[in-house]
Amino acid sequence: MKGNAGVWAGVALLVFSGVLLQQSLQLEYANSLGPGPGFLPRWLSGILMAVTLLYLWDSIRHEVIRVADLWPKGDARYDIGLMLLGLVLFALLVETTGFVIAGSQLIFLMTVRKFRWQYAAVASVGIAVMLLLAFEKLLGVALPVNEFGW
Amino acid sequence: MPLIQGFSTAMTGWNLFYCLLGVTIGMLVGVLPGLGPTTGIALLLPITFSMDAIPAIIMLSGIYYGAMYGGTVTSVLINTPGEAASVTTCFDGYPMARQGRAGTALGVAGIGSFIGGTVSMFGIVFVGPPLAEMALGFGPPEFFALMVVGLVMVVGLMGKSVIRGLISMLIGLSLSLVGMDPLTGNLRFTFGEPNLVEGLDFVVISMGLFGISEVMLGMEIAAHTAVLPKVGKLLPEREEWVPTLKAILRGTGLGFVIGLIPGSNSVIPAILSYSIEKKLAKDPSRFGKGAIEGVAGPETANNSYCGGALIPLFTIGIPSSPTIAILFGAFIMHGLTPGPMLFQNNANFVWAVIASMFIGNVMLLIMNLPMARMWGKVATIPASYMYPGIVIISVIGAYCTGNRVWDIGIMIIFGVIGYIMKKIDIPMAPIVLTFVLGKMIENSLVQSLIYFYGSVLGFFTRPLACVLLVLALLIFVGGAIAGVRNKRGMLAEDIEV
Repeated sequence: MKGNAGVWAGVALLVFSGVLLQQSLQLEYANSLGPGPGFLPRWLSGILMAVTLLYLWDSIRHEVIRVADLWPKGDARYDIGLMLLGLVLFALLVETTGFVIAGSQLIFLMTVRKFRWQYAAVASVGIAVMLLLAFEKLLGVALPVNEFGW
Repeated sequence: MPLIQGFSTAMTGWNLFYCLLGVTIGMLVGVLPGLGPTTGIALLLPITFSMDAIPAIIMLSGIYYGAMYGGTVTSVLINTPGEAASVTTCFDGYPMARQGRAGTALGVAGIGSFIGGTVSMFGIVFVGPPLAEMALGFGPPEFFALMVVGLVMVVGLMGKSVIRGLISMLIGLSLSLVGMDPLTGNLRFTFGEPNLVEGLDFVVISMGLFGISEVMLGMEIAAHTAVLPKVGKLLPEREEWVPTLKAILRGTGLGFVIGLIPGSNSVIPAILSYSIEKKLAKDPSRFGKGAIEGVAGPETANNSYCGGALIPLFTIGIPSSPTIAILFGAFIMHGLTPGPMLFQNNANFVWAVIASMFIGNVMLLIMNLPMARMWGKVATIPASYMYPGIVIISVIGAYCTGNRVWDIGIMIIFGVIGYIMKKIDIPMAPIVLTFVLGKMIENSLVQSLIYFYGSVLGFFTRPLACVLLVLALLIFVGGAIAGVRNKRGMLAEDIEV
């Protein structure tokens, strides 16, 4: 059971539906006009709990998906890890350093394992600059920039 | 006639350009495995932020039906469906290619797609306005019942199990409740976070679920280089024309009718068409070995489906599939409200988009037939080259929805959630559909209950709502029984992404 991914997912869903139920109990179920803001959330959370219990039963009795099978293996682990790292860094940096630097590091981290680092670096900066120009000048979509305008 | 006015709008310079851009990107999306029309439209949404509604929707619609054409190329040439609805084309299209008839398979698919797509556009022209008129008489109970049918179709017929589909649907509905309740103004599930007051954004969720998670899943698949067969003669032999045209006509009708049903999907008409052609064939043993009807029928059906599926969106305002749900979101983003009033309040927009689809189908026929081999080569581009582009565009899209880093964080979270959901076989598609419909479902349910003084039985006093709810129950029970007996078959895959 400990290695069964469906069980863990079911537990997470039970927690989610529990929080949903707890929050909906603080909302008005009905008022003089009819159903209140808590009406649908309460029903949804109850139905979700019931379905999650069925899902847990199904996961235990029929389809066992192992937790170990969830996670990427081999090279994919590093590729996905670098991508997620790049995304988090982008979110942390973009409003300070601007799109070109934040975007370049994201593209660089996603390409450095496939190409030589020098080419990946140059391509990353080039693509980020092209995207900035395309979105801002051609499409009129404002991207986050630093005080130098990039 | 309004359609002629629509053509005059659609054929202005920039609208023609965006139509061409949309169908070209649609072909690309269809050709590239792992990138479906839902992802393609979601990724291109940010580009349309600063555009007017007409060119924006022309382009995004072009991606939708263009992808149906594109998916055929890889099915025939490398036995890999570019998008879900083309999976049946692999059964006979690839054997035809191995027999040296790749060109004929692609030609027949292209002609069938053009006929199916064009006839279904005529269907929109003649069925759309009367249906919109009729929908003006619908009240909240009818809208609620229609949306329930749509949701039940998605949950009951798709995915590996009804339980998993229900979970996905309930998650989507729950997420739609975050933010301010539209009827009372109460804040729900914001946990004191100001960024949640306006709720979650469907573009951000879509980018995460269909952009980031698909890239993560794609990174785990090893790339392989395909060898393309020669593309020769494009047209069938003389004796094959009659059975081919009959298959095309049947596929056209089937696809269009199924497209009208909320919650249906482009895979259903393709599969049904294949089954019908096989049953009607004089020699069913030819199927699976290069039967031309096995290519003509399904390919026509999935393109004809596109036109039919747009009718519930335009006339009733209910998206019938996750891809149409993204289009629905695009409408809202550009200040348009899909539904019965669309034909009246925004007639110029509606007819321009419909006219652009006629034009787009012609463009696709021209692009497909002589350039099939070129598109096949596109399919051999390693997916890893595209991932950085998909991710950076997803990030741009997520940020631009509200100019907040918060949305990038939400996108990352949903990307990881989507990845895990795919691994544990919980379908992602119902989340987007129910998220988009969530507020509409709640509004129509609450308004109905107010009207019926709180009694649920009131729904059954309205004939149309009663029929639809009973139908929904039958579909749900049927889907559950099929799931228990493991008879979902091809529909079990998480499709149309």
